[in-house]
Amino acid sequence: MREDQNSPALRQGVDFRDTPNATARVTEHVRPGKKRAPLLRYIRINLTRTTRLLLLLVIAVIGIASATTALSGHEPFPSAMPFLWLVCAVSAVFVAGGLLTKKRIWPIGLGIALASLLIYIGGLLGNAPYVWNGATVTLAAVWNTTLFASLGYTVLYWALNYGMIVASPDDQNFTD
Amino acid sequence: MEFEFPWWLRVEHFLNIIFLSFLIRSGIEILGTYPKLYRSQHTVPGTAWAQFTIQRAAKHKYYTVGGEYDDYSPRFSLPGRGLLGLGRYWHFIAVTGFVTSWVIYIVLLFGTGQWRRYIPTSLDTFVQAGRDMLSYMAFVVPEPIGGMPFNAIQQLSYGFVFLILTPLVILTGAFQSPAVANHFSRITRMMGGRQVIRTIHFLCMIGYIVFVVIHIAMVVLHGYGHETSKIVFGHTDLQIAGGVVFTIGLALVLVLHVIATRWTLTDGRAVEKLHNIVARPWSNLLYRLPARMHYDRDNVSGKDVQLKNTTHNFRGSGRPPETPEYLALMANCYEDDYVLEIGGYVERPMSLTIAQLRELASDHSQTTLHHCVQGFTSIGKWHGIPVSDLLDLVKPLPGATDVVYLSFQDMGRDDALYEGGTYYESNPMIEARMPQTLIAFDLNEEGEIPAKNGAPVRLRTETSTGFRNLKWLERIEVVNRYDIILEGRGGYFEDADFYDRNQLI
Repeated sequence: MREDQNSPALRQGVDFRDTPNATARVTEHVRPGKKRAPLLRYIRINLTRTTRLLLLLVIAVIGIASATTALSGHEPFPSAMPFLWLVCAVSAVFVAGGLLTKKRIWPIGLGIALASLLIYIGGLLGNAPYVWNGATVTLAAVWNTTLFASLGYTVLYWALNYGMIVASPDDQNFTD
Repeated sequence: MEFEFPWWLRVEHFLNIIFLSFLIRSGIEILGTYPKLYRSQHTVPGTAWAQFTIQRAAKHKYYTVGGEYDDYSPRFSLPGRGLLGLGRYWHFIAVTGFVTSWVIYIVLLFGTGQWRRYIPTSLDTFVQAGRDMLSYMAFVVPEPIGGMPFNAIQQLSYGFVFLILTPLVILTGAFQSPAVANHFSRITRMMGGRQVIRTIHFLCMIGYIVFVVIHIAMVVLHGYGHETSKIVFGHTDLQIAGGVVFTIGLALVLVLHVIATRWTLTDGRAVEKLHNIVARPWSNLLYRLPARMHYDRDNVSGKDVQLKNTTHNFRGSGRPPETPEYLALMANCYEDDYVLEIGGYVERPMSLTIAQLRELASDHSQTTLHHCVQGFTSIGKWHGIPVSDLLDLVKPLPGATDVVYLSFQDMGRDDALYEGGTYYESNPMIEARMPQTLIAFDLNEEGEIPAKNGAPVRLRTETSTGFRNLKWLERIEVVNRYDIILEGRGGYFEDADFYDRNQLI
């Protein structure tokens, strides 16, 4: 007890005694009966501001690509224009909110990505601006960008929740 | 000029598959022993920009670098299971082949005029590459440039990989070597410091993996048989045969990896022999690059970097000796009790106290970058006396070849991570005589060396990786051969693990 009374850490209220990794290293995510964790659990990136900007950028790309598709006049399916403009508008609000605040808005981004993905699937069933449907190469590329960016955001969102990446204001809290 | 697929290009392509895959797997093994990437060469705890581990550090206990190892599966890393020494051996064996192959390839490219297949001769290529990118995104396969074997974006991609990514990975790989980095320490700093170089080297590996994934996707998109026929036979006439032969080739590479992994895990010494045959002829040349670092501890970059960016915690590796003898020395602050013995194959054996060492050293110091074999770095200012000066005092007898250092530390007794044996190291005379090979007794003007960093006296061999910088020094012996000491490999880790005594890389 004397040692405890003299501990600077304890005097500061820091008490790790009896916690699992007080004096020994612990491994996380290892399932019972296994030696190692799933491969992707080993990856943890702590570029928080870059990740935040990347997530915003992907949604910005979805918004711009949706607007470009809407402006082209090539409707992917009947009455698609309002949906494209809605995705564009929400994306703009999302990006502005992401840049001007520190809020964790990532589920909203997932909603935008999934909405864009739904529009793309609608286009598959309708008259999407592909080259073989009479669209220019550039327009077809822009249209497909909504697919790639939506899938990209979904993957990033999953990685965010899995712990592989973190976006500002969060942090991996590496302690070494 | 016809840009076909000459035989040497096809051979080089196949060799690259072997060398790159071995480099990536052994590189992952090396990364796994210190699975953290930093931007600062002070490796300040908590500032890593990436970690590749599932371990959480102990909150309430001093832990050494040896505990950083992560146990990667042999399916991914070569050989897996945290065997850094063997991973290094494979990395150096593969890099010997990779660099040799690349140099020959570059000579042939430029010698035959085939360089034009990778280097655009017109700015239009960049514009066309943009159009090709759009085409791919529009799900339209773009046409090759007239007279070329591939389209503009492929040309730029291959050019980037061969002429930018590969030189960059070789350069940053070379600067992982303590001998290279510490001889050319200004270039090390110009490149952002050791940890930035390590990060770039890692990103190059990611670049190769991304390239390979896209490359395979493109091969499938353009037609597997069509593309493999070109790289197997040099033309597109035998598409089925090309696909079959190439697939068999890939299977052989896979078998090679399985054999190499199992062989390494069962007979590491055989891999060591292979490494010594392949890599030592060139790694021994690095003895010609003595360290010549002159860091400013608080001001590495020339700008005021503030306290948070200095190495205020010089990382410890290994645990201090736990003997009554050493603890008594520590309790008495070393000064009165500690005596460094220097003997062996010398004319004038002698014993020196710390006070005498200080007097002989005449305030000599060096501020240097420490390269841990696992990957961490720290900058420290060491006061001490060059080993060369001590050797001049004791006068080695004719025929003396090596200097052996014995530590108070016994690995099995003092460190739960390792098995028994006195810690010792040795320098060939050329290394011992280098200007920055030092017997140090003071770190960072603190008046002494902290126990975790090797108090009271330790060795600094700045051309070498960290574990050869023996700590808790008890005795120095000059010898005329080192290969009859214990296992005969020149040091504790060389004997007990799989590390080459030549740790210049």
